[in-house]
Parts: sequence; structure tokens; C-alpha cells
Amino acid sequence: MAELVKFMIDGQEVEVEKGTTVLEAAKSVGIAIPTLCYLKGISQTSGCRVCLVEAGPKLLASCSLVAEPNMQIKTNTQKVRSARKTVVEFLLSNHKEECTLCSRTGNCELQSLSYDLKIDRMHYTGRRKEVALDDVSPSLVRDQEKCVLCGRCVAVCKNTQSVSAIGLINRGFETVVGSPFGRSLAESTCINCGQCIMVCPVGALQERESIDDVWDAIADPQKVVVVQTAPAVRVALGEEFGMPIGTRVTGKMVSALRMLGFDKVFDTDFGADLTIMEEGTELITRLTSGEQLPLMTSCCPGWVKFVEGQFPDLIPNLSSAKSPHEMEGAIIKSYFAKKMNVNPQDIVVVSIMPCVGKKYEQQREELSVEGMQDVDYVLTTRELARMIKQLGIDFVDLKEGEFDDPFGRGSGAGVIFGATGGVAEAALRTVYEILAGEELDTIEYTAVRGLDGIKENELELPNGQKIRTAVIHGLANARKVMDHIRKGEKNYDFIEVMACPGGCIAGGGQPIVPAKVRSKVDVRALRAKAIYAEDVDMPIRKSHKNPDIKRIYDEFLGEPNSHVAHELLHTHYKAKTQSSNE
Amino acid sequence: MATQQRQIVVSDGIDCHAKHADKNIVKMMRRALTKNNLADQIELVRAGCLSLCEFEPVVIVYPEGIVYSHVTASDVEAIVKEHLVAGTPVERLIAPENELRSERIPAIDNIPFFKDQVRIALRNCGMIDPENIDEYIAVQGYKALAKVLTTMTPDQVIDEMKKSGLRGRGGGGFPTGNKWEFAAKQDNTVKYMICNGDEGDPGAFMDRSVLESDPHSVLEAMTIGGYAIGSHQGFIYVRAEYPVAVERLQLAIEQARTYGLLGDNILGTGFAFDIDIRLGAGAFVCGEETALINSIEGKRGMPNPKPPFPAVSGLWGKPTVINNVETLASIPPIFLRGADWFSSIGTERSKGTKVFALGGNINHTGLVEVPMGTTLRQVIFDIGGGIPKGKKFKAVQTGGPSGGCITEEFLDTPIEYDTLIKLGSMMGSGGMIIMDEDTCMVDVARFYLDFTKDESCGKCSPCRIGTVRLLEILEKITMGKGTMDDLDALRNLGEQIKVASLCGLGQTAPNPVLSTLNYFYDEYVAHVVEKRCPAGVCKSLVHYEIDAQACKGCGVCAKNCPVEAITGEIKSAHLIDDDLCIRCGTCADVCNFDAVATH
Amino acid sequence: MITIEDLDIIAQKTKDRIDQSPARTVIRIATCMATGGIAAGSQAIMDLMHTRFDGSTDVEVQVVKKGCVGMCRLDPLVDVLVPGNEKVTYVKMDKERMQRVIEEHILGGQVVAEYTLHVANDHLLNDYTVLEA
Ligand SMILES: Cc1cc2nc3c(=O)[nH]c(=O)nc-3n(C[C@H](O)[C@H](O)[C@H](O)COP(=O)(O)O)c2cc1C
Ligand code: SF4
Ligand code: FES
Repeated sequence: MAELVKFMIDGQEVEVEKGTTVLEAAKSVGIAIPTLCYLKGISQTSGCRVCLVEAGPKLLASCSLVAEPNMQIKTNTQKVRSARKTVVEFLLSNHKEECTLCSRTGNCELQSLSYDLKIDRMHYTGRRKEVALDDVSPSLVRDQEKCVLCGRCVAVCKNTQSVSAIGLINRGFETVVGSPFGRSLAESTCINCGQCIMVCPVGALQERESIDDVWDAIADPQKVVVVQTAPAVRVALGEEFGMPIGTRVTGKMVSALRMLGFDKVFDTDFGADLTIMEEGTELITRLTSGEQLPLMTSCCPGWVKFVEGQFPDLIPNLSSAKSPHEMEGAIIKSYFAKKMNVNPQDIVVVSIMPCVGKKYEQQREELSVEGMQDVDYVLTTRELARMIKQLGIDFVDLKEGEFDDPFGRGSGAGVIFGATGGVAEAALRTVYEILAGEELDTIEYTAVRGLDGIKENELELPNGQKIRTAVIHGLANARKVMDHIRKGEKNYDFIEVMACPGGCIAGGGQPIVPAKVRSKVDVRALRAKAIYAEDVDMPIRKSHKNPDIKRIYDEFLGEPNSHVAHELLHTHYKAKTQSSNE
Repeated sequence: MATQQRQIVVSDGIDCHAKHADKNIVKMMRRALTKNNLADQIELVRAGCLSLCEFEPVVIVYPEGIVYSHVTASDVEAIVKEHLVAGTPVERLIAPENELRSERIPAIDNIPFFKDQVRIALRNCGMIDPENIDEYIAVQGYKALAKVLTTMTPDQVIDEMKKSGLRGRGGGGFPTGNKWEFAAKQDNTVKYMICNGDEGDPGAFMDRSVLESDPHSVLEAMTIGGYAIGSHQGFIYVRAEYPVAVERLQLAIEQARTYGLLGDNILGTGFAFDIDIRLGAGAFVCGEETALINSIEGKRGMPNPKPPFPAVSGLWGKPTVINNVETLASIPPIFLRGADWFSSIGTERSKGTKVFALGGNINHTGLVEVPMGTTLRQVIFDIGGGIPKGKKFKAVQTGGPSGGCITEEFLDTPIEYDTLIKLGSMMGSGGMIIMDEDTCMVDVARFYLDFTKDESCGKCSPCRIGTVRLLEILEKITMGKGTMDDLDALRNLGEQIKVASLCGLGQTAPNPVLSTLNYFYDEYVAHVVEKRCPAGVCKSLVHYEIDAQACKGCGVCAKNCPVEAITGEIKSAHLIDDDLCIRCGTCADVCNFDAVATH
Repeated sequence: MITIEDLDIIAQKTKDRIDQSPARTVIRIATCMATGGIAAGSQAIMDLMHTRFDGSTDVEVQVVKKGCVGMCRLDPLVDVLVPGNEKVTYVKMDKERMQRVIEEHILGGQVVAEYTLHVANDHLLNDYTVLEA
């Protein structure tokens, strides 16, 4: 049994486990001390000073103050209130006053803090920091003039992702978050995962937007504008319209996309099934030859860039399969174009992704055919929501729509790509059956599900061979496993990595959940639950059983890993010595 | 063959506005020397204030060192003829013995500057060769360590430290024995001992001095501390801008290792302790203990919240004692001469001695070590020789940028940790900046804030943004644009920054503002209401004016004014156009008739 | 590695070196080589003395560095300790002045009074600023 600590908060006796902070303890008695820099599980620098409480003669930051027996904590005194207010006023006095133009308006932690603390007048004004916008990266835009220096992005980049592309630079008032030598993010080791966006309390970080480009394409009568949506989008988009976290809105999303003016609405689940066919076949080949194992998934662009930059020696282990939406884009511009008799040059493929890394991926020259990119624009879930709002569509009450043929049907295996473990599970569903040569009753590999950072699993095939898998999310975890592999301490056959903790459902392009909510619910678990429910409801749950998949191989691709398949669906990688976005 | 070189030093008192100042003494002397063909053989120096104001003008003839006082034009003639040419000092012009005792002193130890000092931390500084471990051993070096290791248990060592009453000299004044006890109590096989040699307070250099002049005393004390708390590894964090200190420390560590005074089995007692040096980048905040720890760990030098205190969770999460250089240097004598001896020096609550770095408007700048309880007046006037140029004392800033100013009425306050805090200042690391009547206290506050806002690490918002807001208001006031509301804002802002900041830097940064506001409120009001800087320092508030009576109309000022703000006919009084004037002060400098006044 | 007894032996052996009283037996010249001294040019003085006295046959002199006594305004400070005499502190030294001290004081036995401290009514006269020379 854990040791308990008894102390007083505002005259109430509180008993908590040893090691609990005063902030968490206060929550247990119904006092939500305001915070700004603190983000549960991510960052605890105690720099903002918003969460000050009176502890004896001093004011201390409750977010890092560990409860001690007999402490006398006061959260409700004049001294506390005015200190908190002053601190927020300071922050506001050095914050770009552009709330009405900011993408975070209404979902900004500084804004709500200012309201909550009843700040209605600025007592202290003066010079503000002036720093140019960093908008060179294909994925991210940083506006230092909005930054409150909470340090969350730095913490997530360093601790969760082990990338450390950013840190605090300069001192005092001139302090900013940036890359070494003041370089742009684009010239840093950044892998474009966008987790920094997800933790930013204000609008200092956001995706590089493509909304207007997409509107332009839709408005162009010359163009056939085709949209595809990744699995994770449908379990999160509803949040942007006030629906509870984990609400499935697949049908409404399709309806909305159609209303926006897209000519075809496809499901990236189809691309995911295609990926399983290609990558699964690759796995079988490698398992048979015993070469270049473990096979490592390649559908996450952040992970791919991480390998290219930090573990270039392991590039041969990456699957050569393109990621699902890139495969689908390539197929749209070849198979579909021919079928519809349209010039592929006139097709615009837009991918709605839970991810900002996909924006970088979309630009990779390896992902093009004769100078034509497989995908033309990537929009995040947030951008899609913004477009829907722009048209005044009443999303919540929309009727359920259906995806278009021929890429409107995916399997349950395709859907679960959205959560960590999903790609591995989908691959196992197919690979096992092919190797076993028989249909399988169990299709749910629960061992690879869940939010543990590194999940190891061994699956025995009917022939007695074992597939050793590792499922990883969060690149700090990936780094650990890669280090083991490099040193030969661990051996695996198949490794799934998603850069974002939780997988795509918590990708950098998803709705941003404020710290207050994050401290109460596990957003990733709720969205994952929705993804797995979606899977259960699918009539087809294995990629190789998807009739549309069968058809495309019959009509066009031949068989997995065929010559045509390689031309269109596979790619290659480049070691990045000086990490860059090229 | 050495030529007996003659030198004449003339201090005419112009520099310090002495009553009978006569600027022509130097000119006359030069003429007289030329006339007597001595100009080539005798060096003539016009000196600044010698602090002998009541005797000025003064002429000193070297090598004899004869001092002539109240020298007049006719005296110059006599001095040259009788003394310099004929070789007989002019007895009648030499001040009588009881008025002006002038003597040559062979050794520095006898001068007033040293007489009232008690040197514990600085005991060996300047006495031994810092690069020779044998010389340190010859002054009983490492004897305290030997005694500790062979005759005392760690608990006894801690008891002795507690009994001595030694408190940290790095600023906080925390009892060293208690700090050691906390760390000793932690159940951990790995602990660290750190010497804080960051010394970021501008104007302070006592730690540098100790490290350069007596490095072994710090090594010995750290080893004693290591034994007491159960640590086997020490680090000395010293700023890279102290290359001499670093070099001496490195050499000292090597020598100590060679002798087995560091390393395994020290002095054959089985105790193991070693020390490494870590260089700091020289940011003020890196002297703050948690920032220092981060810096040693290779992270950005930024403080962490306390608790946890380093004694519980410090370097790499291990119990760590951080002691200041001067604290450490005071430790070996405590074990050689006993805690009772040490605690007999000083006052009830502040034991031993403290080193101060005297600077600013004081005659004898330098390092002094005095018993706690010595009054500020003794330090400034008896030891420091008072204020130069016969100016009046205005305030003394202790505690550097974290401290506050103390005024004339409190000069008889004994120096102790607690009394200084009561006065709105603090002991700090020992910087002592003396300010004379020509100092503008608003400008002083502005100066310190300008320093702290640059040194803020940027981590916490009150310090990062608040200090800039404070500075902005101060700048507004010095430019004559302040309002009475600004004075309230300064106070509120200052109080909030103090309570809300994360580390000691922000928590003390407003002190210079708050204490000047407290003691010199009128001066702030003068800036705000009358748009006047009483000390004539704030440029925007200074006005230059030509005294029509004194002006001879020579036109030198007009010729030299860089912006042509001065007009007037030759031979009639000139006029300065205040709107054009950029307050450079050139006119006042060039005027031969002292006709340019400021107000 | 030394023992505790060795500490005493070393101390005994080195006692004469650090003796600041007339009882000492070897001439010692200690120049301030702390930051203040170095900044004021004491390295040149050290160099001069090493050149003059290292391996000299006419007179035995310990040429040593010393630390800071806290009066950096008078730097470079040089202590001359001649057996049988009180310690003499020279202030504001330079190479030329040192040359003279070597000849007149070390070799000639005559203190160069004009480079020592000059005190009048408790005020140090050496400690002035030169306005014009
Ligand atoms: C901004 C700041 C700067 C500091 N700088 C120094 C320093 O330069 N040297 C020092 O010894 N202590 C410095 N301190 C105090 C240290 O944090 C710490 O209290 C001290 O080193 C402990 O040693 P002591 O107990 O021997 O004084 C500083 C504190 C603050 C808040
Ligand atoms: S008070 Fe200043 S120096 Fe200290 S943590 Fe805050 S910003 Fe950094
Ligand atoms: S200091 Fe606790 S939330 Fe920022």
C-alpha cells in the first residue's frame, strides 16, 4: 500500500498518496487550481507561475509542489489571486493581440485563463517581442509572438519523441523556443510529427494551412478534385463541433465533404488494405528468406524521417510500401484516371489526415510519378473542420453519406490503422491466413492493442514458425528499440512504429484538446475505442477479403509486389545526414 | 647605474572643488622647472584627489616624499629653488607633524586599510605561493583535514560546523552545518559536494581572489565536507571568465592527487574523495544552485523549483551540498582552531568574518575582510578611506543586484545577515558599492534592473516579463515622462515579481527599486513632478545654462558645441538653446571660467 | 602518497619559505599574480626576475607568485623579503622599477623608498589618478 500524506488545503483536510502534487491533491477536493505551463504527463517546468498557492510565507507553484504531511496550503487568498492575475497580465502584455485572427481562438488556454481570472484591464503594458514567423517547414508554422514559453513543445519533442529539434534559446525577455543556431524548423532535426502543436496552449504553433489551395482547386472547373480520408479522422472530427470525444462521424463526414464540392469522396481505408497486401507480401518474402528482418512499417512519415535521419543504417529494414494515402493517390491517378478517362494531370487528390507529417510526405519527390505528386494537398482534421464551418454546414445534424466507388470500401483492418497496433494487427490478420492457408476465427489480436509504449508479441504460425512483433508508438520508445536492435540485444521479425503517442488518432493534425480536459480523460483511449468499434461494425475485416482489393489486383496490378505494384505502390528512402525536409 | 629619479606630484584640488583650489599651480610649476632647466630631469604629474582636501593644493616631492600643503604661487618658486635646485626641503612650507603625518611604510600590512581587518577566508591570500602545495602545507594546510579524518566521526564534524555558527557566504546565509546535516541524513550511497565559484554579482571578486590565491583551502574544505556528508565526488563550478582561477585549481587538484590528498585512501585513512572542475558560461543565474546543477548536467542553466532542495535531490538527482567559495575557505581554520574560536568572532546571529568588495565612490577600493558586526561606517570610512573628492556619502548598495541601498542614517548598523535584510537590503555575496552625492538613485535602480532583466533566464514569466516592465517604467521616469501613478506601479510590480518568481534572481530583482523608492522617494518625485534630476545624472532632465556674470564671451563653448546650440557675440555673454542642446556637457568641460552651470 | 606525519615534515621543510619575518634565510620576491596583478602587467616583472635569478650564482632568490591582498589598485604589488629585514611591499611596479629594486635593494641592500607605500594622515598617497603627466 502506498504511503499516504495528510495535509490541509483551504482548511480542508486532504489525504493523498505520497508523491502527489498539491495541484492534483486540490483537484481531489474539487479545487481546480488554474495552470498554464503544466501538462499532465508531458511537462512540469513550473515556469508560468499561474498555479501559485500560499505555502507558509511563500507562494509556490502547486504543479510541482509535492504534498508533505501537515502542510498548510491556501489557494484562496488575496495574495494568491493578485499574484496569479499579475502573472497572466504579464503574459498578455507580451502576447500578440490578434485573438480574432488566431486559429486557436475559442480553444486557447491563455484566453480562457484570462477570462477565468477576471482580467479586464491591462495594468502593465510595454514592449512586445518581435520575431519573424517561421513558416518554412512544409508541416508547421511557429509564431513566436504568440508563444508563452510554457515549454510543453520542448518537453514533448525531447521526452516523448527524443527528437529535441527545439529548445529554449536566448535569455530573459529575448528567450524564444527555437532550433539550434536560430535555424528554421525546416532545417532542424524536426520529423514533422506535430505533437508540439497538440500541446501548445496558444496559437504559437499550427499546421501550414492548405485550405485556400483546396478551395481554388474545387473552384477550378478543369479539375476533378478527389478527396480521401484517413481512418483516424472519423473518430475525432466531431469534437470540433462539440461532440463528445470518441464520437464516430464517418457518414456525416462523407456528407460534409460532398457538400464542400469534392467530386469523389474516397476512403483511405482502401489504401490501407492495399498497404497490407503489399507490406504483408513483403513480410512473407522476408520471413521466408530470413533477410532484412525485422521488417519495419513505413506508413508514418515522421517515423520514416526519424529512421532516415537518426538510424540510416536501418533504412533497408523499412518496408518499401508507400503509406496508404500515397498508394491510393497513385492508384487514383493511374487506374482510376484510365477508368474514368480523365487526364491524370487534371486530377487533384486531397487527403484529409490526422497528421501534419503527411504534409511533408506529400512533397517528397520519391512519392511522385513523372513529376506528378501522388497526392496534391493534405488537410488536417482541423482544417477540414474549418472548411465545414466556413460553409456554415450544420455538421452535427448532417445525414450519413456513403463513400464513392471504387475506393469507398475498406476493411476493418484498414480502419484500425488509425490506432497504435492497428497496422500490425491488420497485417497479422492477412499474413497469418495466407501462411496458414486457412480461414481464421480469431481476428482480434488484442496483445498489440493498448497504450503501452512498447508492446512485444510472439505469434506462432501453423507451421511452427514464430513471428516476433514489436508495436511501438512515441519515438522515444522507438529509439530505445532501435538501439537494442543496433546492438543486437533484441531480435524481431516485424515492427510497427507510429511516431505519435497513441497512433494516428492522436496525430498532430487532430482536434486539440486543452490541458484541462486532458487532465481528466485519456483522449487517446476514447478515440481508439471508437476506431475498434468501427472495425467491429465493418462487414469485411481483413484486407485480403476486400472485394475491391481483389478486383484491382485482378484488373490492374496483377499480384502483390508485382512489377506494376512496385512502380506505383513502392518507394525508397534517403539517409539524411543533416536532417532536412528535402 | 640607477639614476635617482625625481618626481613631483601636484594635486591642485580643482578636481575636488577644494576651497582654495588654484589651477595655476601646475602651470607655474612647469614654468619654474623649465626656467631652472629641470624640465627634462623631473617628472611632473598632476594628480586627482588625494583625499587631503583640507591641505590642498598639495605638492609632493619624490623620492623623499616630502609633502607641501596649501601651496601658493610664491611657494612654487621656493620649492623649486630651495628644494629641487639646492636640495634642501623648505621646512617652513611643510605642514607641522601633528597636522599632516606623512610617512613611507615598508609593508602593506601596516596601512589603515589592513589594520581593522580580520582575515580568515583570506588568511593565506597574498602570503603564500598559490601554485605550491608545500607552502599551503607549511601554513597548516590539510591539517584540518587530517584532524577530521583521524579523530572525528562525520557526525562530530557536522556538530562542530553547527557549533561554529558559520552561515553560507554565497548570499542566502543558510547555516552550513545544517545544510551538511540534511545531506548527511539522506540515505544514498552517491552524494555530491559542489563548490559554487560562479560569482556573477558585478563588482564582486572575493571568490576569484580566493581561488587564485589559495586554491588548496577550498579543496581541503570540500574534502572535509565530503567526509561529513558521505560524498566521494566533488565539483568546482567556476566561470570560464576566470582563467587564472581555473588554471590554479587544476594545478592544485593535480598536486593534491599526487600527494594523495585527493583520491582513494586519503592520507592513508581509507577515505576516498576526488574533485573535478566544471566551467560555467558566466551567466549570473548559473550561480543559483539549481541552475548550476542543470548547467553541470549539461542542460540549459535554468533554475528548478525548490523544494526539492539539492541536499535531498541535487546533481543527477542525488543529495548534493553546494557551498560558496568563501564559505569553504573559512572552514579549515574552524577545525584547526575550534568552533568556539570561530563563534567568538562576530555577533550573536552572524559568526565569523565576511569579505566585501568595496567599489564605487570610495577611496580605497578593494577586498576587505571584517568581523561580522563591524559597522558599515567602519568599513566605508575607516577601512575604505571614505568618499573621494570630499564628496558626501549618499548610500551604499550591498548584495549587488539582489540587494538594496542603505542610507547615512543606518551607517552605524552592525553588518549582519538579519540587520541588512531588515534594512531592505541583504548581505549577498559581498559586493559593496558606495555612492556619493552625485549619484541619482533612480538611475541606480535603472542600472540594476537593466542588469537583471538581461540575466533573467527567461523561464518564469514574472521575472522574464516583469523585470522588463519595471525597467520600462524606470526609463520613463529618468526621461522625465513618469507620473505619480508610475511610482505606485513600480511598487506593486516589484512586490508581485518578488512573490511570484521561481528563483532567487526574480525574487530579489525588484529590491534595488523598492529600496530606493523607500529611502529616496523624494528623488523619484522630483523626477516625476518637477521633471528634475537632483543629482544631475539623468541626461534628459539636465539643463545647461551659461552664467551671464561669469561668461567672458570668449566663444570657446560655441565653437565646441557639436550641435551649434550656443550663440552669442564675442566678449558678451553667450546663450544655450535648451531645445537644441543634446546634453553632452562639452561646453562645461571647455569653459575656462566655470560659467556653464547645470541644473 | 603522503601520510599525516609527512604533512609535518613538509611543513617543517617549507617553513622558511613562507616566513614573512626577518628570521628567514633566503631572499624571496613575491609578485602578485592574481588577476589584478596580471592585468596591471606583473607577468613582465615575473619574466624579468626569472631571467635574472633562475640559476643565478651571485645571489639566491626565491622568485614566486603570490595571490591577492585586496588592493588591486596598487598593482602590480611586489613583496621583497630579505633575511634580517622587515618585509617591504613595492606598489605600482613595472619592469624598469623592478630593475632598480633588484639593483638597489636586492643587490645593494637599500630599500627603494619611493616605490613603497606613502601614507599621509591615514591616506594612501600612492593611490591617485593621474590627470596629466
Ligand atoms: C541569481 C542567483 C545567483 C547566485 N549566484 C551565486 C554565486 O555566484 N555564488 C554563490 O556562491 N552563490 C550564488 N547564489 C546562491 C546559491 O544559490 C547558493 O545559495 C549558494 O551557493 C550556497 O552556498 P552557501 O550556503 O555556502 O552560501 C546565487 C543565488 C541566486 C538566486
Ligand atoms: S526568477 Fe528569473 S532567473 Fe529565476 S527562474 Fe524565473 S526567469 Fe529564471
Ligand atoms: S507554474 Fe504551475 S502551471 Fe505553470
